[in-house]
Amino acid sequence: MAELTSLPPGSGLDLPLQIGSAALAQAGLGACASVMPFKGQLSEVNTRLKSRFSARLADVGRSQEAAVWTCWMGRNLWFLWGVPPTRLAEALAGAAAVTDQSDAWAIMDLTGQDAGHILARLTPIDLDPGVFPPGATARTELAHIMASVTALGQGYRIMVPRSYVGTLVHDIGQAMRSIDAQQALS
Amino acid sequence: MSRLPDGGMVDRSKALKFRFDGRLYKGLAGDTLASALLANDVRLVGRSFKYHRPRGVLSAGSEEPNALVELGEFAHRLPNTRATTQELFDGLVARSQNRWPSLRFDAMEINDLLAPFLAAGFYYKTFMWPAAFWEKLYEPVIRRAAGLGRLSGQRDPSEYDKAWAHCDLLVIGAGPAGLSAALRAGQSGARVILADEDFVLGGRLVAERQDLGGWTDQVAAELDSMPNVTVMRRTTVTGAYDTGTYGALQRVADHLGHVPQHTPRQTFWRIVARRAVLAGGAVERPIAFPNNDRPGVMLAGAVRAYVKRWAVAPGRQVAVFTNNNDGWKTATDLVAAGVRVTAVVDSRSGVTLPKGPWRGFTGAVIQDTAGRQGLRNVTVRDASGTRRIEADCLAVSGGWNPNVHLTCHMNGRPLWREDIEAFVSASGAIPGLAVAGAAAGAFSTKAALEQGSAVAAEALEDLGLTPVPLDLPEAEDAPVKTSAFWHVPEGRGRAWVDFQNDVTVKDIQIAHAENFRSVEHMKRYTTLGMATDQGKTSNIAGLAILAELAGQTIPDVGTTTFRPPYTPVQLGVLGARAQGNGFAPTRLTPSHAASTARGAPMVEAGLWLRAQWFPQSGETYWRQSCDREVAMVRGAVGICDVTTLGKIDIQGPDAAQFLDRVYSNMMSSLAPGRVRYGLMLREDGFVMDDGTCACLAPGHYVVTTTTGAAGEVMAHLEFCAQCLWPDLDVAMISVTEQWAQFAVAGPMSRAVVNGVVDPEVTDSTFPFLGCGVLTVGGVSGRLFRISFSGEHAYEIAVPAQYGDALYRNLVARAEMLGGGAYGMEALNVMRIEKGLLTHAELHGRTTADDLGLARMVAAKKDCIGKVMSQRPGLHGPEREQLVGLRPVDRTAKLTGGARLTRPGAEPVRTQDEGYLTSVCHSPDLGHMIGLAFLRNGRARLGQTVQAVDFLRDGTTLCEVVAIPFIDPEGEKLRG
Repeated sequence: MAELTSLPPGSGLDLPLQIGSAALAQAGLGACASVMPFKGQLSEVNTRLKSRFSARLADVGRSQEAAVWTCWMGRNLWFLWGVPPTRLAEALAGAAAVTDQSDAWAIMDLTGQDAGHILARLTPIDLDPGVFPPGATARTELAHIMASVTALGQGYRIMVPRSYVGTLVHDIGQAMRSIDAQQALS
Repeated sequence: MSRLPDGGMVDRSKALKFRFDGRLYKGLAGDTLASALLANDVRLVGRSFKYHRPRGVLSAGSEEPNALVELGEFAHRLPNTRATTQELFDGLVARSQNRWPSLRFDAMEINDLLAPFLAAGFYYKTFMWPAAFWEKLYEPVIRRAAGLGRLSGQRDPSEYDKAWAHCDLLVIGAGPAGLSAALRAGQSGARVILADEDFVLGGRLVAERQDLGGWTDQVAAELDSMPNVTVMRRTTVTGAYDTGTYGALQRVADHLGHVPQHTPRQTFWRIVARRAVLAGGAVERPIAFPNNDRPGVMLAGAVRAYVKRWAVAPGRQVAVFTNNNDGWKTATDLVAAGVRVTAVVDSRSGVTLPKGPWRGFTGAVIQDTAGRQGLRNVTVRDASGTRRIEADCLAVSGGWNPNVHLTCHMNGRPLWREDIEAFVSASGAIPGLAVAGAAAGAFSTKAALEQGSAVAAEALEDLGLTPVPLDLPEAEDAPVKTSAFWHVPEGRGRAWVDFQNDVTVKDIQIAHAENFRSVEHMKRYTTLGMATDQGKTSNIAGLAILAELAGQTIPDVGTTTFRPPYTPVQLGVLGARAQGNGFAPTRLTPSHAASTARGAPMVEAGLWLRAQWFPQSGETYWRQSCDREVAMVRGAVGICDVTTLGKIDIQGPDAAQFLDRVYSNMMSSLAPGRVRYGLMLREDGFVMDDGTCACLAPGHYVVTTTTGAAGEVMAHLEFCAQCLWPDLDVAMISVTEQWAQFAVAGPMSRAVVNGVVDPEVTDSTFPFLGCGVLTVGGVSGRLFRISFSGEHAYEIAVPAQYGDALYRNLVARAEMLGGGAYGMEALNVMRIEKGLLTHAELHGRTTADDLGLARMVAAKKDCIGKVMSQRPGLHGPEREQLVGLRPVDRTAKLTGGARLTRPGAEPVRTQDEGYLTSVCHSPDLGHMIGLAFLRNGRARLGQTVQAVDFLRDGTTLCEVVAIPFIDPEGEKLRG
């Protein structure tokens, strides 16, 4: 048969979204894999990651921008972008469980000076830069969805399971409009 | 006009038009509705709850019990809006409430004449019988007569919002204590939120003539400019909750005539604060005396506030009635502002009143008042006798009650302080919250400023921050001089304690006489403090009067419980972001667009939307589509999106052992390339979920769950791995969203599959319950030979981005073979025909034995729930067991949920023998069939039972049959 055509998450949605000074856009990060080191294998995993991909797993509650972007995603769980999952699985065989997560997540970047105010409508975590500086990441609830939120510096990276992307864009869009409208109030 | 010629924090250049009861008035920017009404000499603003007494403005704040109006019109109408806190805006429309036909001529005023019959307990005593009359007659009549504002009956078109905020220090109240606390914390570098319910900062500082010069404005400006300080005006902290979380209502646009699109009218905040300072001030308390509720009788501090802040004289001739020195300030402030004060009446003997152009009385009380729709004069009684004094406004002060409400929200009880005759909060009543200023009983400005600064410093030190020193301005430091005086004991006429609920001193006496002596009983019997103001101006007086009757002290009587919210919160704002689609997220499948394009109606399954059926031209009823789709799958091939089923990837050296422990049946013997049906039990031995387990490689499995239980099973497995067996080396992660997965079912399914996969699939490469990785349309996919229809079937999975393309391709291929897409209804019919289970059967109260799956609890190994499943009573003939049912009369209908009894038995609980869980019309058999749990069912095949549906259609006689209904040998499955 002919090759299957690809449809990224959020196809058909009105994206990117620019309202006032805030923007919401899909982050195209490419292939993504989860890495769960087996018992006692964390340093072995990091050694292999360093030698093969010049990468290492980020600290707990942190993401890390290097040759590949890694993000802590929960207990003994990291995501790595930019390396084909099959290659990663091969490299980490016996040291970690690797799964392909490239298609499982919708990834959006919310940027602009009001990004924090917008997310304060949707997520209970404290996004103040003093508490949640660039690079900090958390698994939390966002718009009633179990999400991952990472501080970027100029905004936030939000990840939700792919099937929720319509609700995510709707709810963030609603909060963007609301914050923008409130800026005009006396 | 009662607007004074100068002064006030109003903008005289900005006139605002507004309507009250249809009449046009003018106010000024900076006014509240109450100050604007008073400026226009409107003193009668509402009618009381029960007796429909004429009422006017009592206070100048959120404690207001009287001046409640309906704000706005039509769908925007908001009842019970306090005129004292509602900011005036151009075009504001308000109406008085609880009156008919008009405010001045209210027909229900008849209640006032009937007052002797309507005292506390009247309803309880009068409407006892006949019992049936209560719901049909009494209650509707009473409801029409009583009550406050009216709801519009329409959907509220306003937008509302909810949000979270975080800070080091939350300062509640922006009076002198709050301002000094916020300023010190802000200057020390802490993250501060300062919330005040008013639209200007300052608290009493903007209400008193003795202010601090420009200090308040200067501090407000400084706080506004600090990046680490968030000043939230128009924000009421409504509740204190666990772990430093506070609820706060921000009125974002309630002060605007035109609310711009997308702007929330209000935002409800959850503020998480590491420390908090309650600087909420105090509420002045009235004194109960006969006819103390006439429009014009006001709180003394409020009268000062109207004069100072809004430059409005609430009367032309003002008398003052007080039991404390603070009340005197009203007389001096008013005279200074050019308002005539006719008398100062002090309940205390032996005090020396300040000198002024008024008649002074000590050891004196107000014994009565006159003026039906507005005060005309007051009767003063002292040792020398009684006399009438001209007054169209009486400023009353019975002392001040610290606002301890928030400190009671976690069940803290306030403490009585004899020196100030008031309750203050117990320390530590709310962890992390300190109280300062008038809220802590420190009533002088100097004390408030110092306390605010001190508690802020303490909180900062607690948090490891270093408080900077703070320079405080010079301020008055008058000591509290008061002598408890709650009500005037003699005199004719009713003396009101709770204005909003129309509770009088006599009502409390009745309650006490009838033995409702606990304060909680008295409250409920009289309804004192139970109105929308929660008794802010009445509770303590009520307690004091009860104490007096009982011969006890006030602290001995105790207090009722203050509960959140501090002031009323609209349900609309609590439900913000949860209306319509905001109620819950929606999850869409990879085939959603293609299914919608085919006109498929959607059904919710968990949060997912799944296609119910795919109507074709000429089909007008769902059964036509469903029957066609079943026939299509059974005769050719059908395609169905099963992405929604939970998929969990499990890997690790101990993965097989882990699976053996969580599944009731053996999984460690599963070879790579094979799939096995599995059953999971809960700890208590009942069935939790079922699904499949596929072995992709040694130590690498993918298990599936039902759609609805995906989250529950994932959490259960995580619990098992993290808490029960942390020694096992196993890693798991959801891959539900990674893979788009489609069932390809029917005798021609292999032909469809072979059209898209490489290499070709045969019976030997993919026998029944085989699985493997292969190429699908150029991408790496997975194929499982499993079936939920009883047909030769596959489930084919590709990364989700290719799901839409693969689904369209599969459906097109199926259509060429006489098949096509099928939905949930057809899927359900086929699984019932085949006797396969869903959560209609796995509903949490059934065991493996009930389901006929006892052999799936492996004898050779242990698993979660195994021991408990062997308890007596969880298996055997006394249990209700899964069987099939078909109607004896093949045209008869079966309904899900119908109860089963023996034929002819009376359909009562004691005869109950089970119930129908799932029913459908079987196109293959031509009649309805059902799955049911029937007592000792497996031994009763061939017998008849009757199914009784109490909610729908009567009784159906059914035959008990074996399941599955079709293909019992599973030939189609394997063929």
